[in-house]
Parts: sequence; structure tokens; C-alpha cells
Amino acid sequence: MKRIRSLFYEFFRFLDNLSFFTSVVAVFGVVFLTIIHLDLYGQYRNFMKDIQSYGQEFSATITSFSDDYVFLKVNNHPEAGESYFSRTKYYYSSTLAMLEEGESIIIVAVPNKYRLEVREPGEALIQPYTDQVQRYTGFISQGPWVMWIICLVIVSIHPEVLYFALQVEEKPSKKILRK
Amino acid sequence: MILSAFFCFLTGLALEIYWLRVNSIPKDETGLRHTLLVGFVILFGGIILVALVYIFGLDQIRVSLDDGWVFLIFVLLGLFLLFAGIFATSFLPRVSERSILIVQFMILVDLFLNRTEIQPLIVFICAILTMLGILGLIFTRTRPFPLFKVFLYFWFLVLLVVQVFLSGDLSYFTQINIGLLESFTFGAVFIFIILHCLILVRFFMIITSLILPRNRRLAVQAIQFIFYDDQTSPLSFFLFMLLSAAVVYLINRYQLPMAKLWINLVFLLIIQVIFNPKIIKLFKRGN
Repeated sequence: MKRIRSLFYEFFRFLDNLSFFTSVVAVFGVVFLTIIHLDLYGQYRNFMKDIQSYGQEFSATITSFSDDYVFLKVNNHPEAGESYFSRTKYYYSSTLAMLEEGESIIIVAVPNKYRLEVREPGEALIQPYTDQVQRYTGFISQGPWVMWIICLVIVSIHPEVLYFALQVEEKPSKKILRK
Repeated sequence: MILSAFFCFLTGLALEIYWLRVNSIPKDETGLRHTLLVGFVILFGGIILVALVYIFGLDQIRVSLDDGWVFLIFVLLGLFLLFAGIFATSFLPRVSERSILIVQFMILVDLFLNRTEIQPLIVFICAILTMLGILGLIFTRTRPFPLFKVFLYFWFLVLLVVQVFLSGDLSYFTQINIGLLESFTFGAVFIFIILHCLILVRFFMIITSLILPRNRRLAVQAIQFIFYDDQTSPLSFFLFMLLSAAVVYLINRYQLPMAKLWINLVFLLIIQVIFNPKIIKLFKRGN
């Protein structure tokens, strides 16, 4: 029993030391992965905002598919851009399975005259499935969450690096601590 | 952004970095004359650069992140901000409980006025917590418990960053017709906001680390460094709070162009000048 306890103790001490030595890298990990997650959300939010502000309906034809995009060609609308794309991640896989190359659909996209006002002028929304895009929560469920949590746990065990320069101040007296 | 506006942006940015540096020096090593002199030198340098741009007829040249030298400046700025926000204290904006609470109140007024797409429950919780904090401080006239200060500061950072994120404030850089004054202000606000975003991530990690009791001592020490404990009279605090809310209301009411930029400038001035005990002392001492 004593031996098992000692083994556990050694194991936890090893994990503690490992956290200490990797905490600098983990801090960078949390920062960059947080930026990635916020960027995923920002990308979605900006798209929805731009579509709501400037979006117009056009008829288009699906030209091709890739893992990430559906490529669309607009049918004779002078005010629209020639081609657009739609991100596959916003739609259910069952919906994507129903779409076919050459199929004619209605899209909501930003016309040419507003191209400079928006962040992603070539992105469009496939009209019959707007509700799927509105309900999209992939920016919460997707992304490198596991790595982010591992980094956060490491920093939480040994956060000393975050106080790197904050120790320059005199240590607070017991009186201040009690206030 | 045109070249002259970009130089104004850089001047505002440099001035804000210097002001943050002055703010964060823990001991009274800076004098008013020295501080103002360096500030004027930075401003003067910026004015000369803009003048040169006009003299040589380069004012209509457009710059963007696609230009190598602009990209390099932003890469260096990004690295600087990363280290300043996450590891250093040399540019950490120090706050007082009053400045934090006034800024929180103004953010809530702004969010309500704009009917920002934020869940009503979250706004309600924000409002209740902020109001309780304000009332608690005013009626009890006591300093908050150090760990409470950590959470208060974190809450303030969350609201500040959420407000900026929802307003899309950082998109001014891509605007073609941005004026010189707006560019200058945007430079200062840009640094202020990005730095606070990074400090928010830093404080999120600090808050998470509080789960282990051994880490709490570090957080208490850190917050003593960030927070000024100076108290102002409740009357002046209330008056300033009402005045700040009125400013936010008027900016929104009359649809001032780039409203969010000016609101963020007010936040910056409250934190770094108006409710900053160190700056007030510096001006009172006057040397």
C-alpha cells in the first residue's frame, strides 16, 4: 500500500514538474488557440452581418464541390459577381448530400457595388437552407479545444510565468492582504 | 488608408505606448515636464512626417497590409503587444475601482442604446453585477477584498473586449476615407484595445489558476500592483458617472461618425487620465 502511495506521489510530482517546464509554451498555446477560436466566431459573425446588411437574392448554378466549399456561378445578373462560394461547414451533411453539380439554386450574396464594404465579398448563402446557417454553432463545437484545455490545465497548475514581471512590486503586507 | 493618415495612426500608437509606459511605472520616477516633453516630441515627429508627405505630394498614396514595410511594422507591433500583454508589466494599464466601474456602466449604457445582439440574460446579469458593485463601493466606502478585485478586473476586461468585438471597432484600418484626427485617435485606441484583449486572456488564465489555493497568493500580489486603492468622493463619482453616460447617449443619439471610436477614446481617458491617481498626483505636483 505504501509503495502504491509512493508511486502515485512520484507520478504527481513528475506531472507537476512537467507542467512547470512546459508552462511557457502552454501560455503561448492558450493565447494562439484563443485567437483561433475567436477568429472562427468572427468569420461567421461578419459573414452573417454583411449578408443581412447587403445581401440580395440571385439564381445560381452549382459548378463544383470541395471538402470546404460549394462553388457557385451566377446566372445572368449584371449587378452580381460572376461567381461565389459557400462554406460547407455551415450546412448539415444531409443537405450537402442532396445538392448536385449543375443544379440551379437561389443564393443570397453581396452585389458588386458593395464589394468594398464587406470582408468576404465572394461568400454566399444557399437560400433554402438559411436557417441551418443561422443555427450554426460550429465555432463553439469545432476548433482545437482539446489542445486548448490541455494548455489551460498546464498553466493553471503552474501560472508563475504570468506573474513574471509582476513580482517587481514590494510584497504586500499582511495588513493589505486582510483588507 | 492613405499615407498621411497612416503616419497619424502611427503617431497615436506611439503616444499611447508612451502614455501606458508612464502609467505603469510603479514608483514616482516621472516628472510632469519630462512626461509632457516626450509626449510633445512624439506628436511633433508625427506632424513633421505628415507635413513631409504633403510637401512631397505623397498624400494620396494608399497603404495596406499588402505593402511589405507596413506588414513588417504590424508584425513587430504584434510581437511587442504579445509580450507586453502576456508577460510584461511595463505597459499594463493600472486602474482604480472607480474607473473600472464607470467604464462598465458606460459600456452597459452603450450596449442598451444600440440594442446589441447580445443575450438579454447576459446583459441583465452584467447590469445587476455592475450596479451592485457601484452601490456597494459607494455606500460602504470600503476597499474590495483582493480576490474580489481580481474578479472585478476580469469582469471589466470581459465587458470592454465584448463591447469592442460586437461593435467591430478594429475595422477602421480598412476604411479608405478615414481623416487624420480619426487615424490618430484610432492609433491610440487600437493599442489600448489590443493590449486589453491580451490582458483578458492573461487574466483568464490567472482566474483559472485560482482553483489551486497555492496560486491565490500570486494573484493577490498581482492585483495590488494593478489596482489603485485611492477613493474619490461619492458625489464627484456620481456626477462623473452621469456625465459619462450622457456623453455615450449623445454620441449615439446624434449618430456621430465613428461613434465607437470616440466612446473608446472616452474609456481610454477615464482609465489613463481622469480617474488615474498617479496622473492626478503628477499634475498636482506639477514638476
